Amino acid sequence: MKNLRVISSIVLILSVIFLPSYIYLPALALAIIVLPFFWEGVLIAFLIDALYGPGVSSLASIFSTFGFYSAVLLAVVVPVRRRLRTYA
Amino acid sequence: MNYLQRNRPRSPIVKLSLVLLGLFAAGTILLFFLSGPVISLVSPLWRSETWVGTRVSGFLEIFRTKNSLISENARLSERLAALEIELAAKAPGLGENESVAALLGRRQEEGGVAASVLARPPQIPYDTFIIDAGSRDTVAAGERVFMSEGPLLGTIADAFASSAKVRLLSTSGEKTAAVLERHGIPVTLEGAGGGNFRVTVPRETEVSVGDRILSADIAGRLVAVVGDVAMEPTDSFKQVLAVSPANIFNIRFVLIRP
Repeated sequence: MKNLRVISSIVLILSVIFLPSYIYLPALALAIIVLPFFWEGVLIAFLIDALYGPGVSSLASIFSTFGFYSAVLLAVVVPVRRRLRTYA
Repeated sequence: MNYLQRNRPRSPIVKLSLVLLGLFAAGTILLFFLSGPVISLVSPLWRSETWVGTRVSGFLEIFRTKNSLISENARLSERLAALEIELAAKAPGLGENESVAALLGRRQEEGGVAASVLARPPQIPYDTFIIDAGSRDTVAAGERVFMSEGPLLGTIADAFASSAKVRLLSTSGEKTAAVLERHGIPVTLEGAGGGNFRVTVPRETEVSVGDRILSADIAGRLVAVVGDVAMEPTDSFKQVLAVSPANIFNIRFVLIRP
């Protein structure tokens, strides 16, 4: 599982640098949902904003960044995952 | 004896909140202070991607016969589109503008710093470009960015040592003063993302698809072209939807001027 997280993080970072947004954004969201407590995804989302964002003019505008949205997604997914059981 | 049980401490929620706060703080630091170094770190990768892509496509051309005609067709279509944009960017009364500028003692601007675009939408989910000219090439934040054919694209948001971030005028929420060319009516262009703009004008204003929207300064650069006009019979205003003359998804070179 640890290797999977590391590989996922590396693949996501490379896709942020080289691939279109309609590939890496859904992949990032999927990784946050599927992998348990994928906190690396929040940092990768902030990396997207740091690389490509138009600039943060004030502290309030940080709430309209991909980093904030991914943190919210993680906060929603973690308790939901805890309540789900998979009988794989 | 005390039969009342203590509530279980809500440690998982507190723990999760603390971790998320820590992540948020780390991300904020990354965003505010490390944006420049991160872009400087990644720029060589984008440059090498462009270099490798050019070499590979050139090599593969040897093995293509029918496909070479298709690529030639695409290249000529692109050239035709660029010439059409250049023609559209030249205002009909260009001679009149030049004489007004001369009367006011203002020189028409020429030249500028040329730069290639390293990253653009759809790779970038925002309406921004990363270009390969920076402060070493006398590029500074706030300078204007144009297409090589003439239309105004945006401004430099951040300038780093050898690269810069361009904020397009079509960035969502960005407001730009402009002029509707048809009757010289001042309007406010509001960016809607994806190279699109939104303008609200009074109902009586005459505006048609294809009308040009120019910048509000003396140069009167082409900024957008009206794509659609929407109005309900009961509305007091018209919603004008305009598009950038540039295809921001495959633009390759830009000009930067103060």
